[in-house]
Amino acid sequence: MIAARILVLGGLLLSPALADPQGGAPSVLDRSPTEWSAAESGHWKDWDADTRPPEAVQPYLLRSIAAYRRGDRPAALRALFELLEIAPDYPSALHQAGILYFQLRRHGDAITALERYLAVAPHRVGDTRTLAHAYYSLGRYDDALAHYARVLSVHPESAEAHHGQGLSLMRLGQSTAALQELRRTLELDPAHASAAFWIAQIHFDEERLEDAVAAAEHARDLDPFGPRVWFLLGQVLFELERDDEAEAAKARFDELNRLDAAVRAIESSLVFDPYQPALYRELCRLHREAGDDLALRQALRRWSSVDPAGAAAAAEPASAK
Amino acid sequence: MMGPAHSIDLSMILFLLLGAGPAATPGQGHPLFRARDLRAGEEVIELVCGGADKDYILEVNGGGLVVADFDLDGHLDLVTVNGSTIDRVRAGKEALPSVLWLGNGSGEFRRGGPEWKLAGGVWGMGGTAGDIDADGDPDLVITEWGRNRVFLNEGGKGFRAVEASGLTGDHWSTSCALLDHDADGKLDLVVINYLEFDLETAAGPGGACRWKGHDVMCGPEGLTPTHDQLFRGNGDGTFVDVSVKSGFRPEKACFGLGVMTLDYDRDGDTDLYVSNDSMPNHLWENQGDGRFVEVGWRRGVSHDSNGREQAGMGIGCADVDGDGRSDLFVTNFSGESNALYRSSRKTGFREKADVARLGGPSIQRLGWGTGMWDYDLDGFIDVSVINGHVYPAADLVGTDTSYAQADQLFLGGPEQRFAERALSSATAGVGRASVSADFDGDGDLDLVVVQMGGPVRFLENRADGIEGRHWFSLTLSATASHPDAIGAHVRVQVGDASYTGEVRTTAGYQAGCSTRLHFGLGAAETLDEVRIEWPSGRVQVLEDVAVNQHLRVTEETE
Repeated sequence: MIAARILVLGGLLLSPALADPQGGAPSVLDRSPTEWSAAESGHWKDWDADTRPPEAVQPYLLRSIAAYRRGDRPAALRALFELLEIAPDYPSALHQAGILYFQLRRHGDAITALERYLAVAPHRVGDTRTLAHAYYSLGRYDDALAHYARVLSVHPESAEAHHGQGLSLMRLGQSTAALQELRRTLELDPAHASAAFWIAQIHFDEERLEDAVAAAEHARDLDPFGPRVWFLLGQVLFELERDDEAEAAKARFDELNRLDAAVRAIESSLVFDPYQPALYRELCRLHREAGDDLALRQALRRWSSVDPAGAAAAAEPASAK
Repeated sequence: MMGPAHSIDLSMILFLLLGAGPAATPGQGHPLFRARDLRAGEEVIELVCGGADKDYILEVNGGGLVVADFDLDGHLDLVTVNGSTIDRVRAGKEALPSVLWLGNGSGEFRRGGPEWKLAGGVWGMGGTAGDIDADGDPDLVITEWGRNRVFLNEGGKGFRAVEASGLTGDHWSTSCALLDHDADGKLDLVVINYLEFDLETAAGPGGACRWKGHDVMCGPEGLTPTHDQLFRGNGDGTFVDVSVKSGFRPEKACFGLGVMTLDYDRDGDTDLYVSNDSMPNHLWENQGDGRFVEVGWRRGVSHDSNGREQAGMGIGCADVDGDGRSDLFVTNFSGESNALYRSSRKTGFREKADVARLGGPSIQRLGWGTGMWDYDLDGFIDVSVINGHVYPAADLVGTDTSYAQADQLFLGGPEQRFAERALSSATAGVGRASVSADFDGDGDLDLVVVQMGGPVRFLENRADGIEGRHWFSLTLSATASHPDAIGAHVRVQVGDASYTGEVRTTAGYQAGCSTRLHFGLGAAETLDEVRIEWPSGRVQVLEDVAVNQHLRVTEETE
């Protein structure tokens, strides 16, 4: 069912005329979802995510998606603001706005949008994992825990929801239950590096050092370019008095952390304004330096969506190599 | 702590076709502290740190506080360290005057006379006090954006500025602390430095930098950090820079903001913990011979548990879990969690802020001054956190925080879990440095808090009114080491419970605390034992000590 809807909309998305003419103008970032007017109670009670949207809202939705695909979240959000003016509380727009706000790291706004989505479409709780993420990001671990449980009641095999549940439990000091959730995450998604990392962290916190090493090495194998696992691995190895290995882990951490900090700085700029080819160029350079081919390809793909020629030129050395 | 790397199900976006959130839950219950503007008679005490718009990073740190009994009348006094404005600096004017306010022991202050004059400087930041020349009275150090200054106390009658103190380097210094790092009986000084700031070249108004999509002033990222400094004291108010010689020099300079002295490994010498803004925090392990080795990463106090550098600001230090070892609390930026580094069974630490319920409530706040004391006298260490953002733009939409913020009190309890409670009756403010002391002599610890753009706040603790809450405090005078006994370790035993404290002169962020130790005791009627480990290594034990008293103890000679 999901794939079918993507096809329907994907065809529309290919039209270049749908591109947002205003580019990444930031004014929408000065607005708040509390501005949105409300629909009459029960107005969207028959709304169904499976059906095609009303004609009136389609251009806005498509503009939003096109902008999103370019990585232009402000433009995507602006289209949704316009949509919600003509169709207050249109559920899909609230949901998409919530996700965009979360990606913009505006967690409070994400909560506003997604709680409102749930208010108009209470049967769609399974779509709102991001709401739990947002609670978590603001340190509202009890709320996050409760909401992950709601999502899991609909999607019991959601690895991400189990992962979030595990992290929330860990933050609340319920480490045994947290371990169970994180292990369940790995059962559902054996490549889930973050779950493996936090299992290692819990073992370390509880002084099970040998278990921590094994779990950290597993996490490192799953995500060898993530600095934090090298950080943890080094600390555990130090406590085990395996100093040479610990020093090697620290050296790798220092190298990856330096690159990661630079990547994060670039991403925090691109998330608000993707039309910065120079930043994509630097991003690709950093990923190349780390040796992270997967991240490099993803960065090139994103760069290509705003600057195809530049991205193609930058990709050539990698191809030739 | 950053948010988890939660992945967003992007297919869901297509599948569904496609205010600021509520503030963190406020503390519950009646505030323990009653807030009022700090006054000296009719004079409202205010500090200045730049203008309201905060166009430059120089304008955001706020002023400082230093507590000691400067006039030797038995009552604690307070120095407020004042800053300046960009216009004053451009005009070549000196800093607005720092002032000594003489306490009368009941929470009231009067302005010190001209003999206590502290004029001069460029832009004051913080400070500390101790008997630098060992003549029986507390002297004063003031940190500056500019040359740091030393004032010797002339027998409780007034200050005399030391013209050639040897505190070299016109840096931007923030916090400082006195210690005897080489056990030579003379007080040494550690000075924490922030960054190189040149008003002529600094990016100014217009918001050259962006945060959460909003224009803000620049820094510290992109600016040049400055190395911290360790000065060996000559015992006469002059110092010699021994930073390199002592090993107190990391590979890379950092944006230093806070400092704490502690004997983290309980080997009898004084170690140093330094909080750095947006860079790893440092733990400097004293090797016992006057040399230091940096072990922050190895001991688990340099980063958060995600391996991320945080914007370290203030530092609190106390033994939360009663294991006899110091734990550390560090305040951080909004969007990050404050950190509680609890000593582990070995010599390392584990970051436990969330489990202790100190993490989540801090994420939407930007913390500065912090104190770890038993404010409500129930026998458990509590944590005070003074909050306020650096960016006025924090009040714009989508920041998940605000410029003015409520301060927080976390009351300690069994199993090292804390319960948040409103700190005081004050409205939200833009807080900075803070210091705890029993200014009104009622046995509980009051707070003084620096506010940006407003009066200094005095928070009167009302725990003394709670039935069945007892306390004990003491001042130590060493005879076989420097008289201030900095680094002395005290353990108070009451039945099965023990409480520990360490003598120091720093309150963690741009503030100097009194060397008095203070313990909350709950319902205990008497102290079974007070065990003092002096810096000389001698151990002195007092038995059957009465509660609710301030005791002065002099080191016994053998």
